[in-house]
Amino acid sequence: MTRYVIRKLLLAIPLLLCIVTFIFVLLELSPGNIADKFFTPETPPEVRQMIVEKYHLDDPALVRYTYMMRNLALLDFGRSMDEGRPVFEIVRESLPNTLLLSFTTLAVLFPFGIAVGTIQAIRQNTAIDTGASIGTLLIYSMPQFWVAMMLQLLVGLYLSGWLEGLGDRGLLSDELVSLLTLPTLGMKDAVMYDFMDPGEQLIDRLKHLVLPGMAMGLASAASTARYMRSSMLGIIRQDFIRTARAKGLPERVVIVHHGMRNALLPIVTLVGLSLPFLFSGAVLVELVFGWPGMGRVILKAIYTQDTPLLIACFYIYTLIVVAGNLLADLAYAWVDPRIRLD
Amino acid sequence: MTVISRARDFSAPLRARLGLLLPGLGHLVLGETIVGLGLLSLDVLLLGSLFAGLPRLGGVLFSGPAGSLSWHGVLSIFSWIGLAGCLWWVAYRRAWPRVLTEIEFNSNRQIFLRTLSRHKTGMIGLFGVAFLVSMTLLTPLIAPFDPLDVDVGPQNMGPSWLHPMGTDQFGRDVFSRLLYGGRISLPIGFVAVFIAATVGTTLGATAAFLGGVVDKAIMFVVDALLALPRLVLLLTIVGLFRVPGVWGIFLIVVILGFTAWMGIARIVRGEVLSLKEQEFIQAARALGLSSQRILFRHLIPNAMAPVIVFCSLAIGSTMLAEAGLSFLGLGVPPPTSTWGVMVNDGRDPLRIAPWIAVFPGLAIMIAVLSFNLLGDGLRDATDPKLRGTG
Repeated sequence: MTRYVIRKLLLAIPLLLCIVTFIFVLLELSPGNIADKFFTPETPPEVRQMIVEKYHLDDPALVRYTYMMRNLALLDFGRSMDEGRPVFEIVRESLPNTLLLSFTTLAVLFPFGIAVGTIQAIRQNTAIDTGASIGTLLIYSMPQFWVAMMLQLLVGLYLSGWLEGLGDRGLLSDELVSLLTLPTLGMKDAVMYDFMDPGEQLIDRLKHLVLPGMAMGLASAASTARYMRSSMLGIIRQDFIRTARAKGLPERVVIVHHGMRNALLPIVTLVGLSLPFLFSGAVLVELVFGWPGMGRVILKAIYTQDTPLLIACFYIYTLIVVAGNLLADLAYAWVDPRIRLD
Repeated sequence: MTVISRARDFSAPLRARLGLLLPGLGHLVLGETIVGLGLLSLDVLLLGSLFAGLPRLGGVLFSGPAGSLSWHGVLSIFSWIGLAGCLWWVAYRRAWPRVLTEIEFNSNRQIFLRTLSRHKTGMIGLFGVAFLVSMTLLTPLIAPFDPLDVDVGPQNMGPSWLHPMGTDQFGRDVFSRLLYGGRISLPIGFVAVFIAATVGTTLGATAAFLGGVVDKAIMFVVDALLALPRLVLLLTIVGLFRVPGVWGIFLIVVILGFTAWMGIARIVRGEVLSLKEQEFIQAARALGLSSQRILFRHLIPNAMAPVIVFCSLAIGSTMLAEAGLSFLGLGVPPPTSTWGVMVNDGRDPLRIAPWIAVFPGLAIMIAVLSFNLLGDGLRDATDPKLRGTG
């Protein structure tokens, strides 16, 4: 196992090198002088001189390449042109928010997708299976930003209006109405958050997570369900499942311990592979829900033509994805001992 | 002399000739519901565009600058004739089926067509794609208004007979904008995936055929690029290469293509690796054919089936990526509006005029869904293991 881990870790290094090279090539190929991309026309000449010297912008390409590699390795991304403060600071503020959103989504909706897929496989060709198949396919085909907007519309407008109506007629208590009314913007209550006690703060945070999380994760959950269904269908037709049933094990044990354990193996890799997809979606969903995360930062970097910030965002995203894939690989080796042998 | 091929004749009952009245009816009375309904939906499109387009035919044809002949209008009229021809040809074939010899009947092509036509969801996808493509081609005839004309109706008005999908905040007709938006969104998907298929096939086949260091290098790049979040990659490239105006569209298409080839390269590599050990390749080598000829004439054509399947699925995801970019205002530059741009237009007035965002989103969903269903159908029809289970 240790050797396997070390080999996987070492393989990530050329991958990162490849990506840094890719960024460098993109930067070189993009129109305009390289040095001009790192400051605005208003940058005073002495600051300009300092930046050029620090990042060796006037040097030949090969020198610039090595310095860029060094800087990226040390997570030194320079200063944001637009905000005039270190890029690292901006990233440090927004990255946790994106990670919070992504990993909550992952943690809640992946098990949900797995459960749906398993139920579909057990009840193959029933109304449940067909209905879920159509549902997952539909969700899978929807653009995430549109799902986000539709959630805002349905939940934020129609559902909350309906709940208020119920509250007015005395069918629901006011506390319950305010608890069930989900906010459609932001990460926490803009006004009241600082005046809440910790318990309320937690509830407020969770309520703000629900809609963006759903918008982001529904598509991933749908594709997980599709994979899980076919994986599970392949497993439950095999002999060892028949053996387990013949031994007289209860059906629950057969499905959960013998069936799902094996069917889950390819899904572990899928979690790693769906990380890029999740982060892509995060950019759009964060914009719609006004979530202060990396997606907002990268969009701002593009709109304000902030090259250092843009490169940093891209690099951070790839770092996380590479790390995620690495973890998925390791998890796969951990759950399936056969894989370590080759 | 022995008869090596018997004819297979599936004479259709007389009622199949109902299809000549209106394509689709013949299939419906024979119990082929999906094909029948699909053809009928295309009929609706055809007749609808006839009734909507005939009174304005002059305007459609001469809508160019200063009343000159516009090729959009001419193309739409030719498409109308072509679509009508296709529909009645299908109906005719159903009423008088072709007599197949035994060999023809068992040919790969016929088996593929038979399996696909029995694949329910695949056929839904096929007709969905056919509908969207026809709609795109017939747009100048159908669209009641110019997509860029403001104040053709009241602002933010809900769906009505005159404006089936309502109007937006500038009083533009959402239905017309949707139709014209499809003329951008769909071709972008096709062209980008075509680029991806070309690049992916070439690189994948090269990797498998040459092997060794070249293979390792190409596959390493594939793995590295697959690890990147596609939208973030697209955003970074669009952010770095700011290309103004119409060239922006070409840049978007090329970038979308160059971020989708990796999957295809992997598939082609796998296929070529297994194909190149087979006897027919040895035979080709023994005949002294050049490597180039073996690769392009013998290996790649045989590896194409899974690529076509993948392409159908990739068009869906590419359209989603393009919609995402457009939604962020970084896709196709204005005044052209794709479906993604239209959803973004509906973001501010979401609460007072939800139809502005709802309909283009539905259009994206239907398009992506159709390509996904078609891809699944094609996969099942080309996979010998799954034949007959459809």
